[in-house]
Amino acid sequence: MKKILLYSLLILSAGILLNACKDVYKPQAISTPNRYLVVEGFINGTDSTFFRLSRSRNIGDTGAVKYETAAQVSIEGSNGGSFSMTNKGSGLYALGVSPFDFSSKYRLRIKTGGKEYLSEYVVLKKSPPIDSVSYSANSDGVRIYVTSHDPAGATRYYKWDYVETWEYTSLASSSFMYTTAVVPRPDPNEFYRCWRTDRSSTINLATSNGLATDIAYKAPLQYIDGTSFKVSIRYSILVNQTVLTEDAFNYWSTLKKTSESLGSIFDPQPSQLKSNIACITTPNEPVIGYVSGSTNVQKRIFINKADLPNYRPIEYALCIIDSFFFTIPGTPPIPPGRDNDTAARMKSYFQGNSNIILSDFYFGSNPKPAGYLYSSKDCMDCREKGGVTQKPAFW
Amino acid sequence: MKYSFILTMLLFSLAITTHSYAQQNKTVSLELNDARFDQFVQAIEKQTGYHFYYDTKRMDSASITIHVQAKPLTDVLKAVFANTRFQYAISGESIFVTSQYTIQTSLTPGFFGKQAATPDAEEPEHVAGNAAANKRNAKTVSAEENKLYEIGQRDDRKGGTATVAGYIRDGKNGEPVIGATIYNDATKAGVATDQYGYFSMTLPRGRHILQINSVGMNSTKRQIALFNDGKLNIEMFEYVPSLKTVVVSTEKAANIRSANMGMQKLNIKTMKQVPALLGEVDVLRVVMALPGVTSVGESSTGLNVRGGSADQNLILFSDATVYNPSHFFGFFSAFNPDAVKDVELYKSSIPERFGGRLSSVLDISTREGNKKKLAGSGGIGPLTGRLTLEGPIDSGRTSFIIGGRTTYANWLLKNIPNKEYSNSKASFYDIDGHISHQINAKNNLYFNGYYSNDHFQLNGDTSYQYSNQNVNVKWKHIFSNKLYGTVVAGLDRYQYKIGSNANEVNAYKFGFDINQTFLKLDVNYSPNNKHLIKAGFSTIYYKLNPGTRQADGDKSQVVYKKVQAEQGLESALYVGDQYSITPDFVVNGGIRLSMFNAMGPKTVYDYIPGQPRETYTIIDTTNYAGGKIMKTYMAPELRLSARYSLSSSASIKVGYNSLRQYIHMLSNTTAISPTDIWKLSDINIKPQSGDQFSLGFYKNFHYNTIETSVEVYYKRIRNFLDYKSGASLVLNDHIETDVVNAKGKAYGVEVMLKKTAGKLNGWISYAYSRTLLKTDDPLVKDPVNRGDYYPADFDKPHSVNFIGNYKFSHRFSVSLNILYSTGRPITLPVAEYYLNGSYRAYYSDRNQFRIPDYFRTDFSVNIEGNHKVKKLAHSSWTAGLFNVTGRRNPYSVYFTSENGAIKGYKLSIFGSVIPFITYNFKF
Repeated sequence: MKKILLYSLLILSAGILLNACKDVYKPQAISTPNRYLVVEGFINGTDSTFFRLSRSRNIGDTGAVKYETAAQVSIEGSNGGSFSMTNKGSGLYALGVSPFDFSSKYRLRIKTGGKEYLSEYVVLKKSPPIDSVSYSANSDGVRIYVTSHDPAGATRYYKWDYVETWEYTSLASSSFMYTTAVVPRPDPNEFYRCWRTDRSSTINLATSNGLATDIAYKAPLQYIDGTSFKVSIRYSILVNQTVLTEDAFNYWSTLKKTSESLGSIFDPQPSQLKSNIACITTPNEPVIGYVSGSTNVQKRIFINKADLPNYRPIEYALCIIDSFFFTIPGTPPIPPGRDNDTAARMKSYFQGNSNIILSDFYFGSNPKPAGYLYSSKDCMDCREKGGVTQKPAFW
Repeated sequence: MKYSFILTMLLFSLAITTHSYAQQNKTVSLELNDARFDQFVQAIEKQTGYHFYYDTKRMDSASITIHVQAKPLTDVLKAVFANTRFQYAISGESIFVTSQYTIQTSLTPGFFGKQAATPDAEEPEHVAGNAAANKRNAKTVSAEENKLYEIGQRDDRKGGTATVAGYIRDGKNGEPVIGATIYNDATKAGVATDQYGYFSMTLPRGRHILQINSVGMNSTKRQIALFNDGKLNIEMFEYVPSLKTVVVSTEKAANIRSANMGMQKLNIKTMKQVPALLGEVDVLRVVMALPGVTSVGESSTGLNVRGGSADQNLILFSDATVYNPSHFFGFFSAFNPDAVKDVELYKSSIPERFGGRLSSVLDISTREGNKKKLAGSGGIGPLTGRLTLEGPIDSGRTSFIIGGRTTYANWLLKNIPNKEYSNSKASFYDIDGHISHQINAKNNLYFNGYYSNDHFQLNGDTSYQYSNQNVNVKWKHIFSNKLYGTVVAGLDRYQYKIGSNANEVNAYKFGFDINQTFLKLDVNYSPNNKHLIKAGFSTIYYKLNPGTRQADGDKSQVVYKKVQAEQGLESALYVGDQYSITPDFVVNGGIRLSMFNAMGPKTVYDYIPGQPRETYTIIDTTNYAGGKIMKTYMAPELRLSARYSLSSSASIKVGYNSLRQYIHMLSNTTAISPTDIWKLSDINIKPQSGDQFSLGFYKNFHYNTIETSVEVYYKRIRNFLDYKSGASLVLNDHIETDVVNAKGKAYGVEVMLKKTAGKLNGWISYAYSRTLLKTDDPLVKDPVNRGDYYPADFDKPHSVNFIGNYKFSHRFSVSLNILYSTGRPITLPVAEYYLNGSYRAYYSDRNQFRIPDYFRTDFSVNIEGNHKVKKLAHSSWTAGLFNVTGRRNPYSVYFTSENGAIKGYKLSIFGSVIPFITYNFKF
C-alpha cells in the first residue's frame, strides 16, 4: 500500500511537470482604426490567375470577410506589357490564361480607395509535378504526406494547399416525411448521403535546402483522427503545389510560425512580416500578403474505409433514436374523434423537419404500425454536417 | 528601575596597553530620560570613541535616566552602576560591563620582561565559568581565545607595523571559511578572508585582540602579541545552537563595511531552506528571488540581472564558465547543492578580476571537502537523487569531494499510461569533483572538474542533448604575508546536439560546441591596512563550432554543412586598489584593460560600406589564414566605488562600472533553449559594452542582525544584438545580415530588508526596474517599433519577494516564499485578416502589452533528525507545496489560427499545486 502511494506520488509529479496548462486567453479589447489591404494569390504562369483582395479587421469582429470589391488590378511585365484583371465580385479579380514570358518578371498593381499599391517584380517559377500523395494509417488516425522532387534542382521551396472531400451518410435513411400529414417520402435517400468539401486552412511548406537532391519527401500535410467523419466511408484530397522563391518562403514560414504555433516554450516571438507589396501613396502603410509567380500542379488521391483500420466515427455518438407512439402504450385505444390529438402531436413533432422519421414500427403480430422511429434533424439530414447531396463529378 | 543579571563576554583576560589610564577621563554630556541601555551606550561611544562590551540580553530591560554636562566618563559610569549588581572596567578604549566580578585590568607582571609568561599562564581563573561557548568546544575555544599568540620573531623593535596572515578554517572539517571578518577594535582595522579562507592584516606592533566573525559560525577572538610578520591560523566552529547561548555580536557587518555594492552572498544553508520545485535545492532560483534579478518565465533559469539579458551573466562554478546552467528544459539548476558552499552575485560593483560579461557575475564556490574524516551526504526526491562523498586522502593535507545527481524521469515517463509521455525521454545527470591539496604552508593546489549531461526527446520526435564539461587546476602561492597569488588554468566546453530521424530523407544531426582554454593570474598585495592591491592577467582562447549538420542514416539526403569555426582570444590586464583613506572612507579604484582578437582561419564577407548588411550588399570575401588576427577590439573598463560610513551601523556607497562582452548568445526564443547559438565578436559584430552608475544606502539594526539597503542604478548598454524579423540563426554563414545593433537603458531602485539571525530569518525585497531597448542602427531600414524605445522581454517594473524561514525548534522549521512581479511584456495582435484559408493575427508594435501579473507562494516544512552531535547519520525530511495557491501564472500568451479562426491561449507551466517530499541524509 505504501509502495503504491509513493509510486502514484512520483507519477503525479512527473505528470504535472510535463503537463503545462493551456487556458483560453482573451486580452483587453484592442481596436485600431486601420484596415490594412490583404492580397492573396499568385501570378499563374500557365493558367488563369486569381487574386483576392480584402481588408483586415479588429480582433474578435464577426461576420464575413471584408472584401475589397472596387479595385483596379493589373499585372505588369518588366519588359513592358500590362494585363488588367477582371473584377469577379467578392473581392476576386481574375485574369485568363495570358502569354507570360518565363524569362521576364511581373508585378501587381492595385488601385483602390484612392491609393495605389505596387508589388516588387517577381519571377515566374515552374513547379515540378507532384510525385505522390501518400498516407499512413495507424490505430489513432491517418497522416497524409506529399512528395515532390525537381531533378533540375531549381525548385527548393514548395508550398501546398489542398481541398478535401469526403463522403458520409446521415444516421439513417428516412421513409416518411411531413407535409400536411406524415406521408411516405418519395426518395428515402433524399439527404442520406452527402459529400463535403473543405479547403485547407494551414500553411504547408517544405524546403530541400540542405539536402543533396531537390526533394520534398513525405512532407506532412494533414492528420485525420480515426474518430473523424472524414474517414467514415471515402475520403479524397486534391493537393495543389506552387513553388516559391527564398524570400517568399521566408514570408510564409514566418507567418506560419507566428500564426500556427503550438505555444511551446521554445517558440519564437511574434514578429512583423515584410510583404513585397507596398503602398506607394502612403509609403508607411503596411500591406499584408506576398505576391509570387509560379505554375500550379495538382494531384488527387482517394482513401477508402476498407483500406483503413476499423475506425469508429463519433459523429452520431450522441444521436438518440426515439419512438413516437400513435397510442401511448398501456392506455386504452384513442376513441374515434379524438384522433385529432394524434395528428396535432405529429404536427408538433415532425413539421418543419425538426425531427425526421426513420421508419414506422410494429408491435407483435399487429399489422398496423404502432408508431414512428425518429431522430433529430442534425442526425438525419446529412446536409446539416456541411455537405451537399450532389455527388462531385470526380467521385 | 530593574536590572537583571549580567553575563560577561567570552573574553576575560585583556590586553592592556600601558597608556590606557591616561585616556580614562574623557568627559561626556548626557540628556537621557528612560533611555534603553543601548542608547546610553551609543551616546557614550559617540562622544568618547570608547567601545562597550556587554551582554545585550541582560541589559535590554534596563532603563536609564541621567542628566550630566561635561562630566568625566568614570564618574558617569560610577553613577549609573551605583547600587546595581553591575560592575564596569575600562581598558584602553573598551568598557566592559560585568556582574559578579570586576575585570582585572592591570598588567600581568613580567609581561614585557625578558622571560615572557607562557600564554597559558595568562588564562584567567574563571574560564570554567564561561557558559557562552558551545559545550563541546568550550574548553578548547576558551583556551585558544585566552591564549596569547606570539606572531613573528621576537625582537626589541618597537613601533612600526607588522603583518599577520593565515587561514581561517572550519574546525570540524578543515574547510576554509570564506568572508570571515577579522576586526581589531583598537585600531578599527578590519579585513575579510578570501575564497581560500586566507587573510592578511597589518597592525602596529604590540598586543591586539582580533575579533573573528562569520555567518553561521561561533564568533571567536585571538589575542596576539605582534612582533614581526607572521602567521596565525584560526579554527572556527559551526554555530550549533544550544539552549542557553548568549551571542555577543561585535561584528561590523560586511554589508556596511565593504566598499562593494550590489553584491549579495548566499550560503547553501540559506538556499536549502527555501522551498524548491520538487524539493530540488535550486541555486539559481534562489538567486532569482533577490532584488534586481528576474527571469522571463518559470521554466527558465536564464537570469536577467538589472536589465541585462541572459547571456550577459558570467556563471562561474569554481572558476569554470558554465554556459548552460540548467537541466531538464530549465526546470532545475545544474549545480549539485551538496557541493556548493556559497554563491556570490555581483550585479553592480563587479571586481576588476572579473570581466567578459555585461550584467553580472555569479560566482559559485564549491566546498573543499572534509579534511578530517570521510563523510557523505545525499538526498532522494520525487524526480532526482543525489550523493556526495568527501574526505581526506592523506593526513589532512589533501581532501576530496565528489558528487553526482541524476533523475529517474525516464523510468517515470515509461510508466505513464499516455503515449505522448511514454514516447518521451528525459534524463540528466551531473558529476562534480574537487581535490584540494596543501603542498606546504605556502603552496596549495586545487583541482576542479564538472560534467553535466541532458538528453530529452518529446513524443518521439526531435531529440536534444547538451552537456557542460569543465576542468581546471589552480595553484595558490603565498610569497609573504602581504603578497599572494593564484594561477588557474583550465578548459571549459559546452556542446549540444539536435537530431531527428522521423523522416528518413530529412533525418539529420546537428551539433554545436564552444571550447575555451583559459589562464588566469591574480595577485593580492596588502602593503598595510590602508591599501589592498589586486592585479592580474587573464586570457581565454575560444574556439566555437557554430554548427555542423549531417545526414542521419543511409537514406537521408541531408547534405553535410559546417559553418566555419570561429576563433578568438580575449585577454585582460587589471589592477585595482582598495584604499582606506580613513576607517570611515574607503575608495576602490580599478581598471581592467580588455582586448579581444578575432582570429583566423576564416573567410569573411565584405559589405558595401555605409549600406545595410544584406546578402545583396556583399561585394567580396576576404580569407584570413589560421592564427591571423582579423580584428582587435581594445578598451579600458573602469571599476570605481566608494564607501563612507555614517556610523558603525550605516554607510553610503557610490559606484561606477563599465564592462565589455565579446561573446554573444543568439536566440530568438524568449527562454534559454538548448538550441541557442553563441557567436564571437568579429569584423562585422561589435562587442557589447555597458556601464552602470549606482548609489546605495545601508543601515543595520539590532546588532547587525537586520540589514536594510536601498540601491538605485542607471545602466546603459550598447551594441546589444537584436534580430531582424524572420532572422535565421542556425547554419547561417553571415549572421551579420540577420542581426541589428540595439542599445538599451535600465534603471531602478532596489530595497531590501534582511534578517540574518534569530528564529525568523529571511528577506523581503522590492524592486522597481525598467529595461528599455531601442534599435538605433542607422543601417536598418525598419527598426523595431520605428526606432523608439520599447520594453525588453524581461522588463518587469515591480517585483516583491519574500523569502522566510521560521524555526519553531531546532528540529522543526517552516519556510515560505511569496513572489510577485508585474507580468512580462508581450506583443498582442491588433488586427486580424484572412489569408491562406484562415484568419491570422496582425501584430504591431513589439512588447506593448503585458501578460497577467505573476504571483506564487511556496511552503515547506523541514524536519531534522535529533541533534546529537555524534551520530552515525543525520537525516532530514523536507516536504512542501510549490505554488500553494495553484495560480496559473501565464508563462506566455500566444495566438494561433485554429480551424480558420484566431484563438488566444495562456500557457502556464505550473498550473496547480505541486507537492513534494525529499529525504536528505548526511553521514
